[in-house]
Amino acid sequence: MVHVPMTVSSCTKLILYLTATYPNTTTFLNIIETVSHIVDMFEIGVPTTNPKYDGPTIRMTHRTAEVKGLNALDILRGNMSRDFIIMAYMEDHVDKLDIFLRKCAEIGAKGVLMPDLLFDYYDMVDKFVNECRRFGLEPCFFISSKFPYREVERLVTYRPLFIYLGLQACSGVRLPIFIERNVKIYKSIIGDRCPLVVGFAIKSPDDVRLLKKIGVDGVVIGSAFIKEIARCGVECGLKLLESLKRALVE
Amino acid sequence: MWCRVWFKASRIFKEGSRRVISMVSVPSHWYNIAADLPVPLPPVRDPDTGPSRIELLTKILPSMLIDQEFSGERWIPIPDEVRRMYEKVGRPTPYRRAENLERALGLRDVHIYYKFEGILPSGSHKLNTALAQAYYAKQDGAEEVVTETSAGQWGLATSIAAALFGMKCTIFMTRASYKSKPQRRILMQVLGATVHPSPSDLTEIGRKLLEKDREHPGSLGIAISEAVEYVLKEPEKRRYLPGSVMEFVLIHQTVIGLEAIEQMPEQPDIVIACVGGGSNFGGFTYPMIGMKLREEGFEKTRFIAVESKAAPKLTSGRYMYDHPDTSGILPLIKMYTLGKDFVPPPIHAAGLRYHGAAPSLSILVKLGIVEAVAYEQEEVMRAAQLFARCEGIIPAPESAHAIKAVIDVAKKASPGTVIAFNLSGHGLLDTDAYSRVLGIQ
Repeated sequence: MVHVPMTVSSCTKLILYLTATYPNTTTFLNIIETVSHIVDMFEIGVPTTNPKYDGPTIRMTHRTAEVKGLNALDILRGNMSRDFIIMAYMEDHVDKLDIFLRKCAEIGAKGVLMPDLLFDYYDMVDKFVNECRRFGLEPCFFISSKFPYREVERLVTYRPLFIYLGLQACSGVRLPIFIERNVKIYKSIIGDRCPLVVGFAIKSPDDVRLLKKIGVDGVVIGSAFIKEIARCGVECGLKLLESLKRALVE
Repeated sequence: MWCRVWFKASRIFKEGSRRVISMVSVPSHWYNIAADLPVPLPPVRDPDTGPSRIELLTKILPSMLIDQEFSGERWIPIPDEVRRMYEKVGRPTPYRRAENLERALGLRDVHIYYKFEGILPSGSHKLNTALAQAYYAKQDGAEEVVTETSAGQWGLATSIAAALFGMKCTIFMTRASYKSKPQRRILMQVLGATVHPSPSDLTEIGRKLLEKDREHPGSLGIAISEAVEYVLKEPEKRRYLPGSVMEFVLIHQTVIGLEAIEQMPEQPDIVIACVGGGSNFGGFTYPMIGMKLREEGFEKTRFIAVESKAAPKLTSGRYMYDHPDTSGILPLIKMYTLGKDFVPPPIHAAGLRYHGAAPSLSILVKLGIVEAVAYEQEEVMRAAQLFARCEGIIPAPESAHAIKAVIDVAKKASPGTVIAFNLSGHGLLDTDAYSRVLGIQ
């Protein structure tokens, strides 16, 4: 396993989001193997019937993934050569959080991100963090572009692996939002105390250059990659990632 | 202290015990309460089926409004041209003490103050956001602004804003109000707007509803659906301007509360405003609630939202994801709602007939930071009559809900209590309401 430390640094990390077993088990593993030398970390989504805060492309991957639910994560065991975190909706696991987190730990995940935690299960933040730590996992937090400042301050005190800022209203859909301003606001609150990762509708080298310039610690690519492999296969997806990586290291 | 950053405040006088008016300039920034809420606002969502409604926003709304809807900025600069328009139409509006009402109620050392938005040319607070939205629509290159209205206050405000910015204007007015409130409709037409009764034959949803009932009274939700559908027929030329619920609408309205804070001779213990979708309430109270949340003032102040029993979303609705429009063209937002298909009875306070409340207001009510009460229209109109006879201002039926709550609260208040409310509009075009409810021929 190659570990690229997720830290606050001048080196912006490239993170690839994939929904486990999309479009099928074989292709999913092929993608992982093909792009592992490019990406610094994977974010793997647990296929769910209700990807409520995702946009149309990621929703489609949840609905068409070959294996549904936690069983889809079995494929990761022994097949990951890079650090990875698990993304899942708390709504699906709220009654059996320990089972979910144990599974994440067993397959070697580094951390866990639950995008609805801070919106729909706000009272469970302490429990989530404590349970993550109990299973040797690092908590990650998802925040929106209009998140209360004091609450961001509070999240930093949990010493998460990173805070993930959604740049857009949902994944993969680009609205005319002044993302540079929003990133700077939350970067100024977080400072160097915790890595700030951003995602949603990032699709070009120009996008990642801008985000690198304003000091984000990681960029997540999801919908753009899915669209690219749907258009012309895994090799096209690889080329996209290579172009983004070049923009990050140049 | 924070206010000084945003205001060139210059209190002109405090006249003995009257302590009536202090002059301030138009704020330089709007306030965005999302930055200070105790919990985050739930994101907008797409429904499970159909195309992305979130993606659709780019074809409907001016781009800067979308940006403001998702902005993390606590203080949003007001463009110079919008500030000039605010001054042109009469901002800052006055903040006055209702001494005659205090005396009529027999209050002992209980002070009642009100911010009066009725002096604006539209007769209501609605112009504050209409000007900003029309400005941004024009910036996008749009030629025509389109919206819905019920009582006509929003439609009139949009018509004025469109006229001031030299744009075409099309209004879908709920059929009940189209018939019962011809004055505002005529004024919209005088200003150059085209006004359609909703449901109308112009849209698919309108035609469907008219097939079932040719005299369908309409609702704001239906009128919103029609306006959006109409915009989507020519999205390159048209922009939809929403009158309430969206967070950017509440943001624009915060000029009311920001001015009021500078004008207040004494900090209120209780702050009251009526709620249709939440723009009047949010505009008046959010700057104060924000200070409370940041522990910069108003620590002991109670905030009361007053709605109509005809559309009691805050007191009887469910907190859930729902569409702001009846046909579900717009994204889901989490709010207190009576359901997007809710059709309220045709009451005189037509501006309060909406099925949902803005997400930020909903969350403040859910957390208990804002209290909610609901009243019947008869008791409300009697309160309006009392206010009119005391203060010489005929309140809009919507604003009269706040007055009813003020009177109820004031009667029970202990000496030393200070109450402030937003008189969001005048009722000079609501003679039908006064005539019917009060039996005045």
